[in-house]
Amino acid sequence: MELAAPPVTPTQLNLMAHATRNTADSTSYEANFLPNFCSAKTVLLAVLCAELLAFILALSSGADGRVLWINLALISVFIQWIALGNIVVLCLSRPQLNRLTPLAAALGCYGLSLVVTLAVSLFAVWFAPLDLVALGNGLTLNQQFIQRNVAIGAIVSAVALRYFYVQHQWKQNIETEARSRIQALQARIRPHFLFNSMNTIASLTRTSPELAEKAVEDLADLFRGSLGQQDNVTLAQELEFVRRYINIEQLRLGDRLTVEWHVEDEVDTDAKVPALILQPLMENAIYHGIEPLPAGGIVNLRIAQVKRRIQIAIDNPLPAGRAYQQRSGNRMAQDNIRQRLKLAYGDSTTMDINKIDDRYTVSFSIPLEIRS
Amino acid sequence: MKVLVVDDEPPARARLVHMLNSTPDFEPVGEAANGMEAVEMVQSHRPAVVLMDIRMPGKDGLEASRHLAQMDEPPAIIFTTAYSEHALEAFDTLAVSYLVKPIRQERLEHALNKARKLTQAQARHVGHRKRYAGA
Repeated sequence: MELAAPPVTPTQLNLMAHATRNTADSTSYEANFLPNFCSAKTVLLAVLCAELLAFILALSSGADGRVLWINLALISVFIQWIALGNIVVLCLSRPQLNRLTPLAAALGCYGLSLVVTLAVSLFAVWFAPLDLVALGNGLTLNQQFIQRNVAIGAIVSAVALRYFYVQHQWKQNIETEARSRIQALQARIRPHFLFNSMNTIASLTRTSPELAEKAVEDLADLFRGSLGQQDNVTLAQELEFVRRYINIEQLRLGDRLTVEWHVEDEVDTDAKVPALILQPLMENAIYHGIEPLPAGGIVNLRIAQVKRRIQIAIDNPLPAGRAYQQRSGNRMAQDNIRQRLKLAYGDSTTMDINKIDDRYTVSFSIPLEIRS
Repeated sequence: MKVLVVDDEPPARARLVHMLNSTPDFEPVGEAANGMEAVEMVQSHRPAVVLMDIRMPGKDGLEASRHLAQMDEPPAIIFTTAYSEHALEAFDTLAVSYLVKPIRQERLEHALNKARKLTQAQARHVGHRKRYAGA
């Protein structure tokens, strides 16, 4: 008999991760590869699983009534010893296990848990020997008891290993998925914007080379930002990013574009925000609100801080129905920002869209502290 | 041949005018910033070719082209755009060519020459039709 869970996390997945991670420390394999056996949570989980196994074994013994309860009590005591023994041994050997490759660590855990099972079984028969009469197959009841325990232990350990492997893989998949989702959401500069900017630069190189130079610098920064690895930036950085974007649009649109900044002094611009959370909204405002208007218009960017929340609003003129509808893709950018706000702040942030008179306003407020 | 440049972005127009100035046989006769202006200028300047941006505020390039196509002797239209999402629609409106920005000098020349051949063929056709009608 053996308990369910020497929490072990083996995995080829980790092996792969190590193979690709060239910065990996060669002497210590990922310190957090094994769950922390010393943590209260792991101990509780192991005790619970052990008790479940005790129930299964007691029920399968075929006993009834009082005998069943006595069986359960005895089996429980025995299994809990093994469970806690495993936890202690794995907790103590954690530093050594962490130095092994994931596969070796998995085998190590497996071996250790079998040794613990064997040791506790031996202690049990020494403490309370069973009938010493030899059976037909030449084995004593004690030997049979030990054999049975080790066999059950081997099966349960293997199941537990498999469980931890699958769980680990699942967790990694979720993380990878979330990351790639964030990256996909970030990498979105409208192709129109890219080619228009290139065109503007091409024409400026002849007429005003200095402006062209500045535009190339701004464009480079914008792309660096949108291809960037950073999930979060300071609000100041994001505003700088928006400024660079506006610089380029200004070259193209000239007098037609006016952006008014209303960033209040008390706003903590060192607060972290998800990268590219404002620029796409500004791009939307210009694309849908200014470009369709022959005479152009004004975009307002308002940022204020109330207690521990930063309030952000961008508004632009709302062109007459048809011209506005012609430009598709408005919802896409908004949905994108909405999803990223959710990833970063959970449900504590919502984005509001308001169409009042001839102005279109997108607003949201975010806490100063980012979750991820 | 006279060419009208239509684009809502001043730098884009400036570049095209410059390129036209260095293309023999073609001369810019004016600039328009949107479709409405374009139609007016075609009527007043009678260009043989219009370099027409597709995305413009107010009346866009496609609309303006449809309008121009109804003229008795419409100019040849060469569309210019930053991104080719409107390509098929553009050809529906009797465009001669389609250029993506930033436009290359040689592609511009190629498109202009194609437009010239077409307008010449059209002129012959119209002339032929007139003679035929006269006979």
